[in-house]
Amino acid sequence: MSYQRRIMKELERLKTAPPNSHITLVEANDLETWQIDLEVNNDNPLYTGKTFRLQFIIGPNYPVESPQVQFMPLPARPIPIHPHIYSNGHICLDILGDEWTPVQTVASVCISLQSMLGSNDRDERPPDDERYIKHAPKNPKQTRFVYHDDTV
Amino acid sequence: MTDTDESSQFDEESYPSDGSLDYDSEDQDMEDSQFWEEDEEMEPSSDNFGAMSHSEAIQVDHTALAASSQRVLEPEDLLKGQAADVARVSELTALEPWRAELLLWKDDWKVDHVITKYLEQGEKVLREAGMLSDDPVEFVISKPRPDFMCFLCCDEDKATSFKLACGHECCTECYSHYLRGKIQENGSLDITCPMNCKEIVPKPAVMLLTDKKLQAKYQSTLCTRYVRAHNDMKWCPAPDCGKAVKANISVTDESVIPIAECNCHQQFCLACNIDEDHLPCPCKVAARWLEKLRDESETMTWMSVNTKPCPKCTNPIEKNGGCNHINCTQCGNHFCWVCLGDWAKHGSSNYQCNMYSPEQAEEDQKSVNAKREQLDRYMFFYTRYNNHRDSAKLDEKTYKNITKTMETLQKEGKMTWLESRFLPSSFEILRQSRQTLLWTYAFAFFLDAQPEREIFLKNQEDLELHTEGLSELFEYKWDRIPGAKVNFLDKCSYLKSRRQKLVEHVMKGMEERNWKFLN
Repeated sequence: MSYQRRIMKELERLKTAPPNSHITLVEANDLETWQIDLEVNNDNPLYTGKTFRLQFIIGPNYPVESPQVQFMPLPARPIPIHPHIYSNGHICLDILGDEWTPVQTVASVCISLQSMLGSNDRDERPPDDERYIKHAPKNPKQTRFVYHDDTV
Repeated sequence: MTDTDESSQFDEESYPSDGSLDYDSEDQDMEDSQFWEEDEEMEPSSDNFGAMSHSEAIQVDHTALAASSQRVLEPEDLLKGQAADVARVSELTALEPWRAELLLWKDDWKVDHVITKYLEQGEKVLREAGMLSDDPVEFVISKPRPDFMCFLCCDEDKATSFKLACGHECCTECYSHYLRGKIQENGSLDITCPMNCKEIVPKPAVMLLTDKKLQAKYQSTLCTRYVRAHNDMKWCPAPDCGKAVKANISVTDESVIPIAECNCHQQFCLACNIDEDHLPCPCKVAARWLEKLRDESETMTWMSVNTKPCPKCTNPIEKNGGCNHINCTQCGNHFCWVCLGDWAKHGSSNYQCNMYSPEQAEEDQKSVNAKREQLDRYMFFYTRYNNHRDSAKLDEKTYKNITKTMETLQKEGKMTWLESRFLPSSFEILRQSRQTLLWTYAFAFFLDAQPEREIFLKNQEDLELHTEGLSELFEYKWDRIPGAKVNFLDKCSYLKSRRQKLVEHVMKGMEERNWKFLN
């Protein structure tokens, strides 16, 4: 047995009834890699009019373990500028790491990211961006982020 | 050794998983307390192994003099040891056994420390060890009910479910699946609730939700940690042995070399990680020697063949072209590869490369000699050390022939099987003597000049002489064996006592801290 039924259910719900109109499932050919388009759902001038591409990789131990989540750079899909988002698309967010719990879903992660962007007013990358992307592992889950700044 | 290696030594059968050793069963509780009382009568320490059944012989190591007290622990002994520790903590803290076990696991099975800490700090200790609530807990599987939905599989079908004190409830199927993954990754009492809250899944819950095979794996992971937590215990390094050995003496005392012997005859040191009998070498000296071997062995042979030492600084130099004009990059010396003489003389009127000058040769040699001497010294000890290793390997061949010889003797009516039993036991003496001899060379290599050194070398010489004597006897054709039995027995008893003398002499020096070693 695996947790397949749960994943199927989540996928179904995301397709038919996404949490809001700014979250769109683009592709989920297998049950493992999901592409989702994300927009902010307020009028934050930093991000209005832009669409961002999120990639979820659902591991075999999902939902016991967190999915691997990152922004993907594509034509017309930039990496959002945010003090917690590195220019390679990696996201420093505690619920994607240590604070993950199985009650989280792909949809709830999307909502969290939406509000993370919506409430941001700093037009900047993390201070260690340059250093980080040089040595960053492919899988952001292998990075041990230090969640030091909770104000953003 | 990695976790996986250690755990793979266990098989299902070694770990009774039917709960017979689980502290939950009532019988076991009684047995434990009895066990404990008995222990207390014998000695007041927290050592649970002193009171084990006496029918199982305590194996006295016959080669290692210092480790005369050791005990081989089967997996069930390890489980009993844990159960007794748990019982003790549980009794003195009035905590349920599963809570006591979690505390012990967290603090490396330091029984007294755990008790004191709990009595001093109380509930805080429980929180830290992953018990978020003090309420009494019953580990039971809940019956299906309509209002339940599993948060892992989102299944709303009526299913049996399970939860810990933290209240995070999911269906038993998901819970078991979750535990299976964690246990296979060598998880034990560090497995948290699947909700990723800090509540630890205790042993009774694991036992309730897993099958026998997983329970065995779980127990073995627990045992691995238990053995690792005790510095007087060590796993037998032999592949698939799965037993541990416990020393009944202090292994941290540097004047003791606690060589253990498992029931499977594997010998290993309890104080260091050398998996053989390294007597008479103290652990530190033996480690230095092995390090030296690693450093030197690969380069030594190649260098002696391919390089010449620079006549000025003795650095080894490899010739990488046809030109005989060598420029040492270390000291800047220019010399001739052929005569090792100063290159300045080559190509001038006083060219001497083609002429042999005894004075010059002697002088050149002198400067090189110092360095060479060091190397030669090492080679001297290394060759002898290695020679005994090689001989030991060849002796193994001899050993295979022994059984054949014994059969022939019996068939030919020369000697009965029982009468020829002295052959394998003599062989064991031979093996031990060689083992000790090879390490005497490591010891002697680092030994500084001192009066006691002469005694040591005499002992070594004597042991070596008679070891070779015994080795020779094994070369006899079978029909000469019956006539040589007396020689065998004589040699063996002599060797045995000589070996003992040699080791005792070294150990005495260790105790009195008399040995001076080279740096």
